[in-house]
Amino acid sequence: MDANRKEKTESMLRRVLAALQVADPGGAGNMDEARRDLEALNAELSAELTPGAEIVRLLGQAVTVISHLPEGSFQSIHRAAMDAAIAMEAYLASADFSLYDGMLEDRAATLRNVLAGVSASKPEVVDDSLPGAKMRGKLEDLATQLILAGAGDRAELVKIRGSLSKMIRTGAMPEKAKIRAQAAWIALGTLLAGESQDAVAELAGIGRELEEAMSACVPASSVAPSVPSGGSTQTPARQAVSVPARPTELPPAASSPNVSSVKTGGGVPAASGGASAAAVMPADIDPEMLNLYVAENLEHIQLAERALLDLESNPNAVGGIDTVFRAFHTIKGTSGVLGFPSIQDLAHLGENLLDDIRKGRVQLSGGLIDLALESCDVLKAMIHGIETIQPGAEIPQPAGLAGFIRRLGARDTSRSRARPATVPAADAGTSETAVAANPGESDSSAADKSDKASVGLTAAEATARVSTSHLDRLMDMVGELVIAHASIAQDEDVNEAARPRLARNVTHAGKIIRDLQAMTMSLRMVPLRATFQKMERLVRNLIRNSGKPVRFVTEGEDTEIDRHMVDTINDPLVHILRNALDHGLESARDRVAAGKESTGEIRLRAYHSAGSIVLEIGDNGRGLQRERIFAKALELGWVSPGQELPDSELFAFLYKPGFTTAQKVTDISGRGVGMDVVKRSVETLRGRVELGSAPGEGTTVTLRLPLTMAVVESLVLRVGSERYLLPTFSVLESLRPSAGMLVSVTGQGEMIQWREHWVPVVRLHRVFGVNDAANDPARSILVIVESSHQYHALMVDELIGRQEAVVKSLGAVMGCVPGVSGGTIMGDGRVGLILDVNGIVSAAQGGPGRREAGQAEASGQDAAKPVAPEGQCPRE
Amino acid sequence: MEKAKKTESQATRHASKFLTFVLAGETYGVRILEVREIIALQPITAVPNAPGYVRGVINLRGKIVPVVDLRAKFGMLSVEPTRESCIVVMDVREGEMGVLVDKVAEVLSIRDEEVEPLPSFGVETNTDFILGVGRSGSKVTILVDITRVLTEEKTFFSGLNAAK
Repeated sequence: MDANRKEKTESMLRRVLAALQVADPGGAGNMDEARRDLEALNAELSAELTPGAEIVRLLGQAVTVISHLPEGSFQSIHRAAMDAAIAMEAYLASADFSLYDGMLEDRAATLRNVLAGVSASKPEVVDDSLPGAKMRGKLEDLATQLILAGAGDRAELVKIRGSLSKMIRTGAMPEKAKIRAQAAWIALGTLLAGESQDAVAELAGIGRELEEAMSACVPASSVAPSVPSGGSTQTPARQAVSVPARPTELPPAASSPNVSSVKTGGGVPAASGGASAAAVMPADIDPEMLNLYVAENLEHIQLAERALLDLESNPNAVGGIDTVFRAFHTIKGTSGVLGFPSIQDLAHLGENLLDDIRKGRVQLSGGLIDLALESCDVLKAMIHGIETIQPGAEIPQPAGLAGFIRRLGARDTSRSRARPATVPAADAGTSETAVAANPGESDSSAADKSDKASVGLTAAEATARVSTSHLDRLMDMVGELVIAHASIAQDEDVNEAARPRLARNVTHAGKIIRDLQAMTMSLRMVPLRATFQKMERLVRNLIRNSGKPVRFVTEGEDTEIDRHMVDTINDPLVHILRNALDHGLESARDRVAAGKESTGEIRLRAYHSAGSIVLEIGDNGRGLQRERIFAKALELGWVSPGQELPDSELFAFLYKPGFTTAQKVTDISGRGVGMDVVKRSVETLRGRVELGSAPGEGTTVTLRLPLTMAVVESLVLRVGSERYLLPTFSVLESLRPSAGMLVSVTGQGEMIQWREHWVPVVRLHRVFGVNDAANDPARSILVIVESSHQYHALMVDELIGRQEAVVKSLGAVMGCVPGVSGGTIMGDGRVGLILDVNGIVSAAQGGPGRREAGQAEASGQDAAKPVAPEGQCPRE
Repeated sequence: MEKAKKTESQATRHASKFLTFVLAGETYGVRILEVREIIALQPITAVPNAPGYVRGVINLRGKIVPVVDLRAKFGMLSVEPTRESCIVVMDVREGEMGVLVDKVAEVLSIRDEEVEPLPSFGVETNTDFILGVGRSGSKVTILVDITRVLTEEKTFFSGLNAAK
């Protein structure tokens, strides 16, 4: 392509991009220019650039239909078209076309699929804003639930049946799909009534019906509206939309305005405008997530209220403000994710108020506390309101909400600071109109709805919530029972020959006790699958709201984790994932400019490693920006100009309350509460957070959590008169050294050759100060262990055996002992210590035991933490 | 003088029943409300690199509880436990904690007016954790704020530190 032509094509494409950028739903005329450009482009390119020509063709279609679409479909097509155009621009600008071929094909496929109303093969580009696709997604969810539930799980089946009937009643489903769904619903009823002969086969049948319904929702075979190549399509899009029944057209319910507007309402409240956006329950809401949302946020409000009341009596308790702030922050975040913009906005205003107090911009006074408490009340009322309404129904607004928001907003607008464009002034108006739309009737209609809704939700309550402290006690007592039983069984009076009946009974009791123990154990351990699923849903919503093309990859969802920890890791995970999406990943345009694939990637990985559960959240974005962090720290007076800091110390600022490098506060993140919450939550689990980052390549946050209650297969070792348990997963081999094997280095260290490696020897009795251990290597055993990809040889006196150890904490008073990850109760009732290889190695290398104590919390608010200084674990 | 008043009022406000025990011939008392139970001496698992006054950990019905050698904590000479030695399990802020004492004496009711402030021993001696001196008949008991003793890291009466 000669330079002249190149310039011409590029300028045409730029014009198209510009037109696309300003495109809005309903603005039909504006795209004509773009279409003409595209036609010319097509003529120019089609001969030589295959993928490029394809994109141009598709863009032609998109441009033709885009302005005639209802808002929901508009957004998705607009996004796909923008992506495609950006990719095309990069393609044309590059010298080497082949570099971009893959990307272009990818973009073209996405655009083609979106145009066809079909979710693309990759989950990240599933476009839920098209109701047909959404229905399909919902049905797919149900089918999955059905598979997971199995025939025996009545409660779950009842729930599925409930959701199904709701979908049939309220959903905009093609007639064919509806018939299938009804068939499934009836079959489920038969199954539940116990009239079916073969439940499993029946269930499989129901699954098939659901699948049929799915494919009837969005015909998978449909392709782009039949547009001839060349982009010179004359098919008026308006016509395509208004003929719902034809499968090749856009899905029928696309014109239903309330369903699609809710989608966008969740993310950008101001942009979506319109009264309906604030007041409708998203139709695709997951009842389980809703329950969780309500329970968690009511708990947050309760905490906030208590903290506010404390603050009133003691205004100097600065930590309290943070508690309230975090509560509002979390409510804002989760409300945004689930699509309750009115709650989100209110929480945002409350958050602004608290932020001002926290940063000392306004003086804390009785009036402000009243205002904050009132916000809590209103939020509580709204959340309660949400709890009891049906998907798709209107969300009741508490009386006087508009006035309250106005008051809160009035205070807010007086702030001098620049605020995000998404929220302010307009939103008082939004909510107001929401109320004004149904004056006077909100009370009665709310009561009405709560009646209806209670029917749907009670079926989901088949599980019991038990406090984890009760489970802990149960665990302890069962362990004790096992030991007590062992002592009876070993009693010489229980003699098989002399008292056969007693012996048999004791054995029988033993079996029951072992079952009991296994059962209790399983109560505590759960796979991460549920958490991962939850995160996937959250991320999907976040991705949709952010408008960035992102691939979300999870790995290791079978990793088992303590139930108690599952609850606690949710918050940090949400925060980290948000950060990754909002700060970590660049926009598609920036990515392409940086020569990266325009689709970003976020990875969530879980695995067991060296006595810990590791959760890794990585992105392939721009990485942490040292200069920005430094500049911000400088601004806050934490560093002096020109100071040289290692990464670890610089990144540690990110954990401090109030630190953020985001240039603007968005509704996804950017207030600097995130990493603070993460660190706190992880610390309560006695774990730690690590930040890794490479400029331009991405950021990885690693949460390393101890196995508090996890069962660890261990080797029992003897060192002098002490016994220790060494987790077998870190053990590679054990050997008895011969006299000459140990090589001393400068009289300070010893090593042996093991396979091809020179491995340092760690004399356990020296590290632990055990006096009566064997000093002669020839009378000892060397256990080769691996930690953090390094090998070490632990020198011990003897290997005694193996034991399944239940890890218990040594208690808050002991805190973290270097080299010991916890204790367990041994067969003889004594406490055995479980070794932590990482800790031993760093202790052996002269790492001072407790050096980090106190240093981490310079901010002062944590001074009152009840955990003694040992609570901080020494880390390498 | 002010401190005396404070400690006195503390002793007054809380329960006036004390569990007394003996350490190197001296009788100490702790508020009975802070005592969870008294158990016979049992095998204690030493914890490496723990502070000198921590004897180790024991299994209390499936729960791991640290045991502090009160002699070492008070800076007295640590001795091998005898047949009379026992572990008093205390309820402190951070959870349960065992205290190794020479022997447990009795439960004393001490009336408020029988509690007197401790005289000053000079600057070197830290007596913050002592609520006062209780006199019941001819017996003298040193009343101790055990939570404070167990949750503060320093060794009291540092003059005679024989913890090692």
